[in-house]
Amino acid sequence: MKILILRVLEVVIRVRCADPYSYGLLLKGYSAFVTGSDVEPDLEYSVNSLDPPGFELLFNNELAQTAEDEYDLIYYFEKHMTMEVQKLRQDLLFMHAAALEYNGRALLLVAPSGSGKSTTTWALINSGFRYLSDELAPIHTGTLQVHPYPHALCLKAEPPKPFSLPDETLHTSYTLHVPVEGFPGDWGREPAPLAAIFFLRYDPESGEPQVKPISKGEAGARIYSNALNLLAHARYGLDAAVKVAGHSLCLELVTNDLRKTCDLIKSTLQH
Amino acid sequence: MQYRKRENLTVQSVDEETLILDLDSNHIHQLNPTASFIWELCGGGISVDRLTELFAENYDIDGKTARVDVENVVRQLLDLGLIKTD
Repeated sequence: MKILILRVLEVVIRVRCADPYSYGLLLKGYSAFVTGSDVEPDLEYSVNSLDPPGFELLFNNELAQTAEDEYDLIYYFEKHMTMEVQKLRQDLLFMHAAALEYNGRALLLVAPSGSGKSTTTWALINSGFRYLSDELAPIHTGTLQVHPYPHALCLKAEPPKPFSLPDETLHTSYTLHVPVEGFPGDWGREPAPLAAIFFLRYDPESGEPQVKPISKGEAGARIYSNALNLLAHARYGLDAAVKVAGHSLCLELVTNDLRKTCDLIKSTLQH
Repeated sequence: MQYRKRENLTVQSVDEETLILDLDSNHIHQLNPTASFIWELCGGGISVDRLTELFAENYDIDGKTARVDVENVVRQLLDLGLIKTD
């Protein structure tokens, strides 16, 4: 039995892994959250390996999900765990977005799944930005600070050169997970004030990447559509979404060439 | 015929625009400044004639142009279920 203790957004999670392999998998995925073992957990998980191959994920000693392979295990653990954390951190507005830090300020990348958020995030990490998350951006609705959620960056395909992945990358049947130890620089460990939100649209035919401001109303609607725990907030989260839009630079970003996209994001933030 | 806002909508103004959350249809609507102007006037019940007068005055345009714009917006607001008729 190997035990992993994680502190995710101040929520302490204990994961009992029946074997070193499943422990190693989750350690790669969540190494940035590992904490000391002398704290009482808020959430309890167990992982058992199965024969034929697969895993059982238990929550509070009850079966939560059966996973066919490594991809399934990480996917189900992530989904269940983040839902439970959202219940315990109702002061945060959780957005489906990537988050990075640049010069002490946070920016979000908002886009549907599969449209290049994580690939752009990986390119930005290799261009001087600090990683906060590629998937989940928790924003404190009072301070408007973005909290780090630095799980292993998850890609569905190898990014183009020169943004190759490090040797530490975990390959599953469907995904590539880059643990924070494989990053070229440090990752964000503290909340950072939200400065800008880029709403991404991938268009390989558009020539150069382009950025254009959008109205606060449009930004508020898009933020609302990408928020995950709206019912935890007053007036169904509408005020929180509008507040986030009102205090941020909100832009539509048409992406194509990764290097040029990174340069455009950097120059936009510098102005 | 009088037009008025539908009940049970969650509304927030943002600059000159309006966001309207309709939990019955699970949609969020973004009204531009002109639609927001008309939406606000529908608060207590109002006719298209009166809307047209106020719209023409506010945007300093002729009555015929204002009528076309108002009818377009009112039709869309009705289609979206954001206003109703008495």
